[in-house]
Amino acid sequence: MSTSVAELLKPASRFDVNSLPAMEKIVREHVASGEYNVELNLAVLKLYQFNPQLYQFNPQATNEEIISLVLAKAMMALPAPDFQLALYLIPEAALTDMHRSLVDLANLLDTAKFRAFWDAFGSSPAEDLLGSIAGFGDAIRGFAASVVSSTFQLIDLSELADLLFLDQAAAAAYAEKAGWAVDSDNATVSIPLNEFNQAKAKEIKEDIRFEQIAQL
Amino acid sequence: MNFDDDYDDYEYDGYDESGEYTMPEAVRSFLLYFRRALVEGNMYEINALYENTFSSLSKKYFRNREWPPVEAVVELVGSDEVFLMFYSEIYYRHIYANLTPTLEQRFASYEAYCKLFDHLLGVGSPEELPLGVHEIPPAWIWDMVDEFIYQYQSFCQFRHKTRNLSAEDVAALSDHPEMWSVTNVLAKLYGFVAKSNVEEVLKVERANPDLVISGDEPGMTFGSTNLYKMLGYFSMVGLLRLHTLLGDYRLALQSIAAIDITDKRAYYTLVTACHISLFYYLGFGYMMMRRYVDAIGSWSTALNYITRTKQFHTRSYQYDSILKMNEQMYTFLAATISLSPRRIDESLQQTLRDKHADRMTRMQNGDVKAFEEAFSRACPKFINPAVPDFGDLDAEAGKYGSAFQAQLSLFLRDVRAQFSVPRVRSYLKLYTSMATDKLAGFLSIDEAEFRTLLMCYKHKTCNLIHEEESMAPLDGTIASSSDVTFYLERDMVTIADTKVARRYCDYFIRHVKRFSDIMRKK
Repeated sequence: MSTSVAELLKPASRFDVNSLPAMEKIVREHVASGEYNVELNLAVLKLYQFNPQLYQFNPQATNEEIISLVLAKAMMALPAPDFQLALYLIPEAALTDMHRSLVDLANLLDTAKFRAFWDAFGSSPAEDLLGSIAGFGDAIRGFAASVVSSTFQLIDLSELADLLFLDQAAAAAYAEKAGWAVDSDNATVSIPLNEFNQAKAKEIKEDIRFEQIAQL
Repeated sequence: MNFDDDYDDYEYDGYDESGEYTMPEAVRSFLLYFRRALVEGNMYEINALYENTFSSLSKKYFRNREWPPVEAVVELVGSDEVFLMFYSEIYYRHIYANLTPTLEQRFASYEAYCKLFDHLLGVGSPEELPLGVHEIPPAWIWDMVDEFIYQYQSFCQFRHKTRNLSAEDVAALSDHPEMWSVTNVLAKLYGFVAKSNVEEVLKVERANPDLVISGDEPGMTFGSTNLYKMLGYFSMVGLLRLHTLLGDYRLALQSIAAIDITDKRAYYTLVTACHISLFYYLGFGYMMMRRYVDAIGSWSTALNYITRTKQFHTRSYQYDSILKMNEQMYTFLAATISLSPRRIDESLQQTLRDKHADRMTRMQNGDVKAFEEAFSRACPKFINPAVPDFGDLDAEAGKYGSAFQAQLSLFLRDVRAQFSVPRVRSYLKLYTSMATDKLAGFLSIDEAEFRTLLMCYKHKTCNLIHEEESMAPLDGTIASSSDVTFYLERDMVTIADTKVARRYCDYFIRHVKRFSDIMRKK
């Protein structure tokens, strides 16, 4: 019977090194099931931070892999800043080559260099690890698609296909599924208006709040 | 009672040849009076003794030495356990503030804190404490919690400067890894939050502002007393600070989930130092989570508050630290404004123009070094919570400062990724529609790269923003932080800029103030 996540995150167990096995087990379960809990994942990193003698620099330790999994899951959580939050908790000396290649990939995503990301992904040492994570490709595609939808009203299908790393037929199917309209020649995709893909001139007028004048 | 008799010619030696500890008469009467106040005094008395008398006596007699040791105080006041615990707290605090604590004193101050906090956490009912203890003013409660974290941070830094440690210190430190252990420090703060049930108390108070919570309500035995409520409350703000020092910004912001940061009458306003600390760390957490809009908002609030209340702080014993945080917040404000350009309060803008113009120009031109300087000057003192490996001092020696280095280099990583935003923005602002290949030409980059920059711009400017008043600090809604909006239709970008009407209010307020200053000085 595994301890529940909520139980593990209470202050009494959250900072207790004895909770690590249960936490690590859940991290692995989430990798297989596609679930995600950023709080739990960061709590694992924090326990590594508190107990480096036991873990980080011990070659037999399993935490190298756990750190990789946590980073990979954080990458999938983009646009949330989880990847950066995870790095804040990992001492630089504990980063291995595998971790660094994950950092490189995340940097590409974080600057919206999707084509470069897919290129690098194919030859990255982290490819096998990332491929083994349930829903990895979909999560990254979902992030790319959300950036596309806040940037474009109309995009060439070929460009969309590149950004999502799909062939044109699959990209068209992806677009249809997202509720975007593919034109009859299969050349362009039009994206319905949303809060972000419009150019609206805002006008800021002066509001005078009482507190501003109250100080006089 | 008068403590200000002139004892300047008093020959003061502490212990004399016969082993008697002698202290100035004023100190004797202070201690006796202070002890009585903690048994049966009221808040007004205790506050005066704590804030005024203690610091004036410290300046007069104990500028370069410790206050009388606990053993000497026992002889004077008798073995009043509770009083001696509180006395030890200010005794060690005075050492940290004025002298350089030895390792032995660092251990002892930790033990003194544990004893005091365990006592407060251990009592079965609030009535077990003397009446006077319940009258301890909020400022002292805040100082206790804040100092506890300061001493912990100071200890961590001391412990990691392995090159400077003597052989005895190394031996003592490796024999006592439990001293100032991070789990124990956290346990005390979380202990107060739990004991006081403060999160629940705040919820009830928010729903019924006029309700006086009775101690008979289930779960409110401690939270209904001011002492415990404030201990719990300030511990939450303390956890915000502590988790920030550990680099855990998410948990830091989560620690104050129960505090309504937009409430102008919230408890944090009771103690200026707490008020400013709260917003400094809140803004810092937001910045590290890339929520620049919220960071700018938090610091603006605090900086306006300091400007507005400046004349009241000049006499405060915390004046120096308030000024320091004021500077730090301006420095970060300059950095975040450069990363995420937006309008701020006119008077803050003016100060930035007066004092930070140089650095801001460098930052706006993408000079990473300028961000590095700003961060180094204004960041909190990060902690490495782990016990160093004293078996391998050479390997450990390089690690001091690495907690700071790690946070700095990650911040700069974010800064670099953010750089394109102000740059692209400045070009977009010039046009209403344009082909992407042309605009790319103006920036001297190829078109594909420019289109990537446009997507990057969208990604970097869509962020969580704390909008509604009742929200917990960590929450927010996804919104655009950009004043320039645009969209792409294949190769065509259409742009709309925000028009800002001139603002007169700030301008007049500033001049009304300036005028009244001139009139007053006449």
